[in-house]
Amino acid sequence: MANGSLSNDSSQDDSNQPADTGGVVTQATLSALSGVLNQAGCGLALFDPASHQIVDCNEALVRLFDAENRAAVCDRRLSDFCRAPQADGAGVEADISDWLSVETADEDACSQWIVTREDGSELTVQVSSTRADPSDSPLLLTAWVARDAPSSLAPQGTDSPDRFRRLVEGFTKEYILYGNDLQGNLTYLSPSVKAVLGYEPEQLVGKNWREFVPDEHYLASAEHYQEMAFQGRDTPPNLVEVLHADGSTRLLEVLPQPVRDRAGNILGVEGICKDVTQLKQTEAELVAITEQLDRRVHRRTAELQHRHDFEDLLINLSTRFINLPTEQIDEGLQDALRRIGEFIGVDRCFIYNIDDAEGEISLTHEWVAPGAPSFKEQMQGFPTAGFEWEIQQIIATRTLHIPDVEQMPAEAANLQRLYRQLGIRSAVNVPMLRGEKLIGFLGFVSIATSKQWQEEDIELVQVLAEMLVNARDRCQTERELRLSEERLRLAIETIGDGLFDWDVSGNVLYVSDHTLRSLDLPEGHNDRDPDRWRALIHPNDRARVEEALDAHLQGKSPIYEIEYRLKNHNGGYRWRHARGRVVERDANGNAVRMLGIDRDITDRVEQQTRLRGLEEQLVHLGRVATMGETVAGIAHEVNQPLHAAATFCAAARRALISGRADAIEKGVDLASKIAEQVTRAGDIIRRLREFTRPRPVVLKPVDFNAVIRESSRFMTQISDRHAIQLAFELEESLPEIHGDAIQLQQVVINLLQNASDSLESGGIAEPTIRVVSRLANERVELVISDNGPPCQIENLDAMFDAFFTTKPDGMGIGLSLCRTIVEAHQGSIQASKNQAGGLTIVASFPAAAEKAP
Amino acid sequence: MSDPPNNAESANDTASDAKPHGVVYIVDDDEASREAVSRLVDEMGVPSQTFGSAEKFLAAYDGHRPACLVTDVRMLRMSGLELQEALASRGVHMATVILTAYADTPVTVRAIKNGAITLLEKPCRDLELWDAIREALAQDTAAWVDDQKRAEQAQRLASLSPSELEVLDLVMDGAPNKSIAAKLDCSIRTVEVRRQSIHSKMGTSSLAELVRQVIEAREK
Repeated sequence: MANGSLSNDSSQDDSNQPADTGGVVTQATLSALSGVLNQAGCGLALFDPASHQIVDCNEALVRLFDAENRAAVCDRRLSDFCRAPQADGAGVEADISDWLSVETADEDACSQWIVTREDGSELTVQVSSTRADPSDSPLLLTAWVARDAPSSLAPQGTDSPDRFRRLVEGFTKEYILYGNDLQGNLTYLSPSVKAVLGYEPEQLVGKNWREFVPDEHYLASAEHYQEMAFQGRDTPPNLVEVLHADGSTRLLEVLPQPVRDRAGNILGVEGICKDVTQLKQTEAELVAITEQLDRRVHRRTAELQHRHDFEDLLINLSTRFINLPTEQIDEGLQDALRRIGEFIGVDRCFIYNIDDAEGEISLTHEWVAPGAPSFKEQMQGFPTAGFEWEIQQIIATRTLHIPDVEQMPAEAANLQRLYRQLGIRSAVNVPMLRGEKLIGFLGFVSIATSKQWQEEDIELVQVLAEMLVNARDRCQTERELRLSEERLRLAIETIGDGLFDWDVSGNVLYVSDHTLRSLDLPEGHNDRDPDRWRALIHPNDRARVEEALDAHLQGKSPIYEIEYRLKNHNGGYRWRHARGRVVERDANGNAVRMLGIDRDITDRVEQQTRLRGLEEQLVHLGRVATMGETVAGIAHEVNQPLHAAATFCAAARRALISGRADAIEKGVDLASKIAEQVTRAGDIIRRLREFTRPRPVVLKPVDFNAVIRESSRFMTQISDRHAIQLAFELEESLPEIHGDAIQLQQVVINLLQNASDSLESGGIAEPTIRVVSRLANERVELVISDNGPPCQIENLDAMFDAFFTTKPDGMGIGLSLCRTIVEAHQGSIQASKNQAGGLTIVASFPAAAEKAP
Repeated sequence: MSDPPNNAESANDTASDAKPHGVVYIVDDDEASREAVSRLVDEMGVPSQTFGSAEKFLAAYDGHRPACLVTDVRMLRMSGLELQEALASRGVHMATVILTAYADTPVTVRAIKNGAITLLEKPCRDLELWDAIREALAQDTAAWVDDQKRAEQAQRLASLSPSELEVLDLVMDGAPNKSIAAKLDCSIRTVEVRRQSIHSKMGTSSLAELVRQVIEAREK
């Protein structure tokens, strides 16, 4: 508001002060101003900063420069008249340029110049400037006021009131000159009073001026200033509201001055009035507008400040979220809600999570202002049914803004009811979206007050919601990542893998604690010299390892994988399985870094070796045992048909030799019998071969009763020799099982043999083996029980372990083999002690699915 | 199967023409074996009976002689050797042919002890079984005839009166009629009548014959 005040104030202001120029100045006002300024002794010039020339000036400036006339000043360069008080030697033009650069940058600047007058005297002047209006004009309006001005330059009207008065009367109707005596009765009025107040001067002379000042306030101030004048003191111009002839009022600016007689006694005052009604009105309007502008600027500034602060807050929060450890995310969310809530000035802000599957929302985070109610407990698993419109709205418009709960759209009746119930007056909800999917929303409510949110604030909380989704997602991702890392670590720990990380170029081998532990080396010494490590490899394996490793390092194999032995701390060797890959190569393809897993597989290798040996032994012994024990039975089996055939043969020959009539007929008949028996013998041989030769396991539907019958044929000699009775109870309509007949036969034979072995050892009165087949719970069961001597074995399950035996010359193979075979058939086998004192072994197999009809 | 020598065959053939007497009992748990042996016996013109187990045979046997038992050793439940022993315990000494698929020493020893005529390993060579059965039948027939005769003599001996037995005992001691009469305090004539009656009952005509028969009858 420094501008725009080149008002009349300036002309009547302390004339020692430079004219406050600037603001609305035009070439036309220049001429209007000139007169007033001339009287005040204030020079005025239009100055062209480009050429440093004075374009136009008033008379006061001409006098100041002691020039002949305006023509002697105009179109002259400033440097012709002036120089800087402290010339720095760069020349006047440079000083002027400097001045102008300061001048254009700071409108309130004023500077001093030394003017060299025509008469050779020097005068210090203070110059202030302003841009001429219109603002695109290149010209500057400059005001020149002399300091310690010589008397010739003093305002002329001061000691020559008449000239002053005439001068004024001569060219303006706006000014009234007046005089009044000590009582306030008017003694003189200039004719311009007619134009200003509508009175003839004669109408007013003799009247007291107080009659024309109706307003007490103005009256009091006018009295005050008059009194000052009576006391001979200078008064500032003051405003008085005066009655117009038409009954309206005019605002006059009055400058009273004492009138003295020759002796110096004050006789009254003379003054000059100016109608400033219009001016004051305009000024008031201007002030109002300015104030309004000010207010708007202020408001706008506040808004900008608010937004700025808000954005600051968001940036602050977002930075915090980025750096926040996952486990503090919840805390961070909570804190963010508090800070946002406090900043916006709501009563609650909160995050709801939407569970689409359940059709529910749950309050996950909440901040409440002190004294406001919390809904955290209440709003868990709140059904979304009935709020479809609101959800649609929040997705479609990205906001659900309810400035006042009493003015909600009809569609949101349910929400309105809910809000009333919860005592919520206004709310803003913004969606938390992952892609286009609504996963929750961020909300702000005010309990007691309605609140119309700024569009910009809503936009900002939308940004916040987005940020929170990201934070939560990051949290989730990190949690999952950490979980999977944890799982991986656990998995590695559990399966007993060691890790190695070989810096090939730096020649450092990092091995994990697990590896060290498995080699009885102290943990923590993870960095190893690869060459020394390599020396630990078993001599027989070294070449193989080197070869595999070189091949991989040279890129010839996609992966390095090998089983080898490594010397442990105690000098023993451990089997290890290494599997690794070069993960980094330099520009030349040379391996830089290799990562891998190196597991201790000693137990596995040993077990495998043992198992392999055991399996071979088991299979072999199983066959040999079965064959050996049953060789008599087999001989019997094979010889039976051969014997029959030989006997038929003998009969045939006798028949043919006899030469009887029916000899040929008999011979033919007997020959067919012979063929039959030979075929039968062949079948048995084939069966034996099948039994003993290595063959792939063939699973197909098997009649288990047939297996039992077939098996027991091998056993007859056993029962025969030891007078053991074999009692069969075979369920007739037994379903088939899916299996390998020969293997199953081996199971039955082994179990029968086991039973008979135990019967053989003790003097049992009627040694009996019961062989039962039955269907139980959709499983085919084989039950073999003996009434042998009481079983001394505590842990019956151990019977099925390999090499478990109670027989002096037993190998402990048979039952172990049985279990292997039974389990290979998805079956189970169990032993128990029975009431007869002996053992009962139950093998059960899943019944094969019914054959398709 | 190996071909047997031809000369042995022809000799057997001639010998086989004579039809043996008696019945052949066949005990075997293998049906084909039973049938085969039965058909072979058929060719001899001798009746046969077959049994699937030792127990069935024991239940059915009525003591018919002459007969021949052909039995397998390995059978479910009672074995051929046990059958032999069971028959012996009943006083039946039937000619027996033992068949076995697996002839180990203990089995062989036990079979022979039990009085088996032959122990044959299955499968039998050519007419081994044929010959064995014929021989067994012949033996059993002979033994049976012998048994019959011995039984008759014992019967005759048993028909003598006590006074005749007194005379016989003294005659067997070689005492003359005169000393016999003196010892028995009877007339010589009485001794002569009783000796006549003894000869008549025993079916003998000479002293030597009588002595041999009485000795034979008393051996049993």
